[in-house]
Amino acid sequence: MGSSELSPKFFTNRAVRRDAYRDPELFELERDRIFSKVWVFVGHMGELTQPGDYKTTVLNGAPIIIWRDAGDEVRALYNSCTHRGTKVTRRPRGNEKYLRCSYHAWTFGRDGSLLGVPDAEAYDETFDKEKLGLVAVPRIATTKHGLIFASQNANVEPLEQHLGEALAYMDAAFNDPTGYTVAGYHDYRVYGNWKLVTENSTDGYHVQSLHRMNAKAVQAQGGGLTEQQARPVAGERTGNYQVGLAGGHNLMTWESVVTERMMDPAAQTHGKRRRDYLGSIFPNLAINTNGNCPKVRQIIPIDVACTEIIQYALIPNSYTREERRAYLIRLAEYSGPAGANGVDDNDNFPQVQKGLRAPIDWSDVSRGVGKGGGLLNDETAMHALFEEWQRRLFG
Amino acid sequence: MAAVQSALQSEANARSEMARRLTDFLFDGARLLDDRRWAEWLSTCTHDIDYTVHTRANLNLMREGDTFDDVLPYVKCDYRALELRVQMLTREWHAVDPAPWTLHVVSNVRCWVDGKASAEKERYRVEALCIVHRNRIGEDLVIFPCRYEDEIEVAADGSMKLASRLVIVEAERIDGALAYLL
Repeated sequence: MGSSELSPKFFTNRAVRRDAYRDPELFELERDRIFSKVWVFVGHMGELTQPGDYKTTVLNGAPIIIWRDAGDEVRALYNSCTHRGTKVTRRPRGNEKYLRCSYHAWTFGRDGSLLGVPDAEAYDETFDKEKLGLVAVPRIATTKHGLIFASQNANVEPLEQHLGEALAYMDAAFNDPTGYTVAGYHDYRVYGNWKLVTENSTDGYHVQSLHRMNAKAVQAQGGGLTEQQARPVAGERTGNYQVGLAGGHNLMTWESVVTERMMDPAAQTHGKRRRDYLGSIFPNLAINTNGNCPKVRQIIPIDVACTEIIQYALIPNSYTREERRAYLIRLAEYSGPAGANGVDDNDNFPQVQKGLRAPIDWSDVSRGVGKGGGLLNDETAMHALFEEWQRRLFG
Repeated sequence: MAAVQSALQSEANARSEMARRLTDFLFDGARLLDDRRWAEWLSTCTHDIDYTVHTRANLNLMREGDTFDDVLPYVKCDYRALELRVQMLTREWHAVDPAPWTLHVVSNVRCWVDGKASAEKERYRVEALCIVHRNRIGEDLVIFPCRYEDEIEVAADGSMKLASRLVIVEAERIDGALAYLL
């Protein structure tokens, strides 16, 4: 579809136009009008526990370094030598006082400044090292939960303003006062558009069908929702519900009887209740406490039909070593490319993407519309994602 | 002297024979996995089996004092968990309908046949490479370069069972859905 044919109406309150998921031109427009303009999740402070720690990741397709200096300031710098563009580090993470480009050995400090240039006498008086430090990403900010966001937009609103009402849910989901350490990652690609992943966060409707195997297992273990859902009262957020928030965030929360192990029927915990949170922070952060495992997912669009997902295992610092090990087993059993839930979703995304190639214009997302919305298996919360997406792309 | 030499030769032959049988055990197990004979494969595991899958990228996160149990695995199963996983593979996962095809190419097998755990059962350390090719209708071929670090238990009657398997995927990522066993 040529850009001249783009219609501004990609979402009604009942349907989303399928080109949103399959049009490469729209994908590029998303880079320009969303991912270069908003706060994008890029990491967690639990990855940068020591001065000098750094990690590398991608921001809107660009390689960046998140680097903690000796004074604990965290910077986001483009991982691109200001000489001829080489990535100054190829490692996913490390701890360094400086980074030296492999190509011509230009050396950069933790604040991005250019520390040294071999054979500098070959440059004339116009050569100004001070102007050739690693280029900083315009904005970086961290939440009290340790989540790191960056923005290519120097004029982006304050992070708290962007998060808005979602902040309260994040506070509830990541409430360990001792903070979190990142204990590892599940890193995988799925062959589907990034919005299929994001909207899936508040798609409770698919649990009994796509996840029927582990839904049965959980119920057989005595786990599951603590109460049958009555339709939430409009305007009230109590019990088990999903909600779309201003800014494009969409979230679900529910109370259930916890199962300590997905894959061990003997390891259930009868009667122990917990409240879980699952949803997405626009545009690329998924939060999830399901399975008694707080975790986040960094959703990285690769191209229109390919998305990389990096799941961060967030271990509360209050955990003992045995609790930590138990958490790691639970997370592996529930999520990631081999988890009981993860296998279903990761297998399904490419099937959706392939089905979307059919010349059919619209996908129905009307579940709960006209009925008040808000149930866990409605589709009304994900409308917030589509509304924000449409607003940012087309005004 | 001749008797000593003969005894040494017999011992060497026995070790060589054990290494050959351990290698065959790996090949047989690979064939069971490729044939999707999950229950049979599970029956070749001890009831205290530890089956773990890591990526090299995650193992590189280990700090001093950490063991493999301190790092996030992709799969971590005891016997119960393997049993449930086998049930899921056999029945109701959408991810196995249609089922993927796999080819486990086992190679570079090394056996340590000197250790003895007890008089009744011996456990041998075996390492190998396993390149897993995975394909499925409508999908591209995916290849997983894996190392096996196994412990194989040999009973007095010579029967063998897998007591532990650490699969290290020499990669940064495991893409897609791991609805099979590496």
